[in-house]
Amino acid sequence: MTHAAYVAAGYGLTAGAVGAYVIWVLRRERVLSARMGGNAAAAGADSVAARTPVDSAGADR
Amino acid sequence: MTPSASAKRGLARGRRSVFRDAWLVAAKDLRVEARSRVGMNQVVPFALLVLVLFAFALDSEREVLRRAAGGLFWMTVLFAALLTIQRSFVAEASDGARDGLRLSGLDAAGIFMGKAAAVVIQLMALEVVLAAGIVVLYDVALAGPLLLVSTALLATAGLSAAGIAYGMVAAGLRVRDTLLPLLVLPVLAPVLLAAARASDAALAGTPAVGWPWVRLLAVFTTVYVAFGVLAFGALLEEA
Amino acid sequence: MTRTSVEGVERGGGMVRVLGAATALMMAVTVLLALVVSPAEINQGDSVRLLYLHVPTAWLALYLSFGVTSLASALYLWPRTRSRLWDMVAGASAEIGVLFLGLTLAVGSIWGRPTWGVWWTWDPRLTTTAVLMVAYLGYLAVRTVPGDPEVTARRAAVVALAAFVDVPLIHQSVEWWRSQHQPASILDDSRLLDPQITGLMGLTLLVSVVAFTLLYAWLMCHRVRVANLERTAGGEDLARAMVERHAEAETAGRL
Repeated sequence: MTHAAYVAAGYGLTAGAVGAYVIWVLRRERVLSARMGGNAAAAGADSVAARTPVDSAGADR
Repeated sequence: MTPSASAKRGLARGRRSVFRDAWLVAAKDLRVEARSRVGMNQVVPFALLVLVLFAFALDSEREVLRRAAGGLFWMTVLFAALLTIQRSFVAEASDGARDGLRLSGLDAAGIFMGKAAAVVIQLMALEVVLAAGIVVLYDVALAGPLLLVSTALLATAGLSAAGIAYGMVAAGLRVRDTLLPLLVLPVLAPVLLAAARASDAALAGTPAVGWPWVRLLAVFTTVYVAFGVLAFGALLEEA
Repeated sequence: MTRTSVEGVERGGGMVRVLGAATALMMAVTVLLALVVSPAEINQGDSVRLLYLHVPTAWLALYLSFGVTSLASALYLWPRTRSRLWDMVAGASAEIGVLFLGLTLAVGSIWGRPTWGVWWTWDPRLTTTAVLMVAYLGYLAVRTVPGDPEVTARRAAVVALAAFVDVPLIHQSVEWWRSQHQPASILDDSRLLDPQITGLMGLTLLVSVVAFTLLYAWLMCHRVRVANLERTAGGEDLARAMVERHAEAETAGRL
């Protein structure tokens, strides 16, 4: 492998990973704020994110 | 109760109450263990099995095993420690005893130290057996007893303290068995490193090289005991 | 105070857009400088260009993200400053940190191959970084466990602080470990460790660090906003029902 190939691999990987993450965050933001603004009852496939803890009413201080 | 309320209560009853609580919890854990005999029947055989398997993995050529004995010994202790710590929380999780523990009014720091002490005692008993194991199986001559014992005491205390603290984080969760090793690895790595190097130095007859590692173990153990004492209250609380 | 600071996340949209624009601009400048304008290095050749990625991601992941997560965790645990905002900040920063830490290790490895001839070596910095990665992942794993969000937040905060305390111990122990071996390794070649950085290369490095820092800030704004949305709009009722049902099942079925 030439050095240029290594450089390309590194930059490609970085751009790909960062790009994918950016897209994921922005898309999630759009989906969630749309639901906030409009249809609270509409439950899509990705509506319940088990990942981030959600608050139960009244527990927030 | 909040950590500060619990601490105030402990102070009001006098500092001795923390250690009394620790004693109570340690005694309870050890009694449960003695009755169930899991340590004797499962953990010790498992640890010996690991020792034997290492011999197969490393081609049982005497030189390799003897030179690696320190590291292999502590790796085995590590595996056994994970089992022992997980068992420490099983007893409570099974019949809501964890809530009982919380509501009992026992000082959180006392519970932490008690559970950790019980684990230390069980592990030290295991280490005696394993020491005999490496003498017999790996043809090791035990040397540098002061260094070996100091290492064992500090490393075991550090392992137990960190393990119980993280065990509390994972306790009662269905993912406990996969979560605990993941959480505990970054913390156990330096202990394993230091304990293995110190033990190697002792066995090789060059203890001078090993004492700096013991100092590191002392720092580590102090930090994690302190951390556990301070944080256990927060971990024990349910909202 | 806490409710306002959480809701404050919702405002400032214009500022975030400006931040985003600045980030994009700086990134473009970085790429231009890194790949086109700056020269290759005397010993490493073109592979030095990977450092313009590796150094900023390392700074980001090891110091900025981790520092923010640790600080936010402490603020969350401290009763006087307790607020769900800190929990969200800690989680977001850790997530972004893990991404960049992974990239640091990967790009570093890719850089290391032509430079040192190996993909990996157990020197103190690399070893500590790898262990830190596991610590980060453990922290994120604790956050994903279902249950009462306040309890989860508290546990995660404790884990973050434990990791913070642990890192210097890991580093010190590995340093001692490696110092006991006669360093006959290639890492001794200081020409490779400290590349000859000319003025333009130094500038590129600075620009790249600034660009990635802006990226971090911009990503944090959006990620914290997502966390806030998940908290309020996401699945409140479902999460509560899950916790209740789980508790029922535990008492009934002895999980």
